[in-house]
Amino acid sequence: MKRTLSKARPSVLALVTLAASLASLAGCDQSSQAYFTATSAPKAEIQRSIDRLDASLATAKDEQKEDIRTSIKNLEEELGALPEKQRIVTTIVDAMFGTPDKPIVLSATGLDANKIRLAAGPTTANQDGNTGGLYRRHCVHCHGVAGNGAGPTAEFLNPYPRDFRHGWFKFKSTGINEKPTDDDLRRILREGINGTAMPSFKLLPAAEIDALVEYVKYLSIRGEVENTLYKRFDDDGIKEMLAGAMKGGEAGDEFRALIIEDLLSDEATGVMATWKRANERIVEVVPRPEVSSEESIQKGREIFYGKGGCVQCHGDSAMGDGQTYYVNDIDATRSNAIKQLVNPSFPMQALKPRNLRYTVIRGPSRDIDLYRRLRNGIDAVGMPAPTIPPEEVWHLVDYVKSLPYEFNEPGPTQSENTRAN
Amino acid sequence: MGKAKYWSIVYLMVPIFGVGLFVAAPALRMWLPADVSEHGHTIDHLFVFIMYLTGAVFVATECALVWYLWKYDSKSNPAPTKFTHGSHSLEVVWTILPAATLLFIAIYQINAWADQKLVRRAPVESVGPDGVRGTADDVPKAPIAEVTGRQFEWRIRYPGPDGVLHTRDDLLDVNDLHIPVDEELVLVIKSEDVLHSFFLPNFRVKQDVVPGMKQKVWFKAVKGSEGRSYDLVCAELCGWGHYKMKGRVTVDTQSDYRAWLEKLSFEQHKTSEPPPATAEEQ
Ligand code: HEC
Ligand code: HEC
Ligand SMILES: [Cu+2]
Repeated sequence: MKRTLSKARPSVLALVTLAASLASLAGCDQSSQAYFTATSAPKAEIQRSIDRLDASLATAKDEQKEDIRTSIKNLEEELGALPEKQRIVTTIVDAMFGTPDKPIVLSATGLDANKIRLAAGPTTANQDGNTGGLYRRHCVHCHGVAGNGAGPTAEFLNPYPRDFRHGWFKFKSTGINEKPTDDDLRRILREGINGTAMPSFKLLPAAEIDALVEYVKYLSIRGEVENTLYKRFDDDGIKEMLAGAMKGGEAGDEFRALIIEDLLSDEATGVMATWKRANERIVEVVPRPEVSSEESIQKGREIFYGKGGCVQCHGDSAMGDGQTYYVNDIDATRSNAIKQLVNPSFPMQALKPRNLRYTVIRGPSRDIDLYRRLRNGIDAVGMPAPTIPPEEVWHLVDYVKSLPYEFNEPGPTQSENTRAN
Repeated sequence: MGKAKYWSIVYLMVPIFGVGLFVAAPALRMWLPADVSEHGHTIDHLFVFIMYLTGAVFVATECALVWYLWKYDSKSNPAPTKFTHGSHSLEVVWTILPAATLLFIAIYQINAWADQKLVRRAPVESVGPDGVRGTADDVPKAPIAEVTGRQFEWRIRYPGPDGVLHTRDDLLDVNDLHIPVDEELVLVIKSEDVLHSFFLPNFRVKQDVVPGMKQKVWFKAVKGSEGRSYDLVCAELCGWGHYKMKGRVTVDTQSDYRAWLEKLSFEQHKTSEPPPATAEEQ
């Protein structure tokens, strides 16, 4: 009998190993809670400023040193107060918006709770092929649970995935400093962003795309309120509201209602104001001037090298080798907007003007998309709008579209069949 | 006689279960996907042929294995094993038999391979002045599209009205390839980053996509496949998002295909868009 058992052992072992590996596979989904880092960013940011000031002490003149030391001290105090601030802001934001996994959909946001339910939470699927938890299924490993652009694969990408919490979007039909429309977000999901890691989700059913769009808006609004609370934490009025909102019961509810009114719903400054007006801020596309395409390209070239001012960034060769470029770093010029596109706790990444000779244009690249982008610039990355009449923008569109092929017009077809492979 | 020998029955389950699975597979809808290409039957024929061949060898070796396990368990054979220095003639037999079989398969499949992979056998527009196909003066058929794999999607570029790829009038799309039915067609496939594999299961087309190489695949969608969509997948593990690299091939009638290209062209060049529906209208 003993013999038989000892012989049985390898097979038993194999079974146990199989069961264990299956169990660990099934457990995959739960672990995503671990990278829920909604509010880790400010800490990294402050720490970085302190380090930088510290480093500058060595070379500073004596009379500057005192000032620098005071700044460091202030920052360190801020860093010390951060955990308490974070606790308060997180508690209040969670009470208002729920967590990204269990969202509460405030009526002030005008979002559709049913759609959001489909996108939030752990992934599920039933026999009929209906799936839930769409965001975790498709987006979370890049954009992070809280939409902070810091999922586990994010750090390997260039550009980094978008941090939705700051509410900045590059590819939109609306004007400068405006939010994208639902259609814009839908297009981004369907087409992806060519030239970046953001993939196309074209084959998802329309209802799922809609759900994801709604959820991106939810994460963005939630994040913007969270950021605003941080920024205005010490303002008069806000402080009292926050203290009140931390109370339980009805009194707390009242204060939270106040916050919603003040930060979300306010017609002029509320977070919702820009989202709500997006559809009215779509950039008008003027008719194309009636010139031949060759002529239009020629005019576009003149604008590009002349009054358009494109050369200073995109370079004489249009290969993105001009003099001006940014990094997503807090101290660099025009830095704030850029930093806000990506999670601030990541190392710097140069944000270079694009090489326009490359056949891939990032983001939607229909003529109409390019028109709007060139008319408004790309506000999120500091590419300015050219000061030219709206109809001349069409010449720029035509010129930009011709750039990859300028020196590359096809010659006679080469014979391809001679290779004896 | 010990009970230990009954363990050999567990090993017998392997061939039984394996063969059973193959027999049941078509009924469980786990067999090959529907073939809608003109050349696909040659690939399927090779597949089935090799499956029967290896299947027979598999069953024979498994039976021999189990029989030995059963017969020579240690309880009923207390005498220690005697080792020999091998049998020369046996070794010759088991070297020559597989070698001959492999050689046979290599020759048997050679045409199927050549038709699919040799650029010389790709569809031609005309055979050129010399009237002979497969010579240097052949005019190759222009590709209907270029498909570029990248982590993790398939970018598609149609040549546009001038019929030439990489000119200003190219039409762009992603993950959604349309092809005309009943037409011998050529696709150019490329990679933008790493190794991928361009796989159309229903058309029995599979080709690794190698960075830096421009490759061609060709096939013909048979009549009756129009109006339906088929999978376009990546068959080479290309990174963590490999599973995402799924596209769609839609077979169109000639007129639908032209309409599709026109729609792409219209979308690409339009200069106005209807305003989005307001919340009340939705
Ligand atoms: C492989 C990583 C990856 C995945 C998966 C991914 N994204 Fe992205 N996404 C990116 C990157 C990178 C960018 C930034 C591109 C840029 O800045 O140009 C981005 C940008 C965006 C933007 C901003 C577009 C704009 O106009 O600025 C939205 C919205 C977005 N993603 C939504 C999603 C949604 C929803 C999903 C899931 C369905 C998803 N993404 C999946 C990498 C990813
Ligand atoms: C201040 C610097 C700056 C100036 C001036 C500027 N750009 Fe840009 N441009 C950029 C940056 C930075 C990007 C890259 C944005 C990104 O990474 O998404 C960009 C992107 C673009 C793109 C998108 C290309 C792609 O593949 O993403 C186009 C087209 C473009 N610029 C055209 C122009 C034209 C035309 C002008 C002149 C009217 C101009 N730019 C002026 C900085 C500039
Ligand atoms: Cu791939």
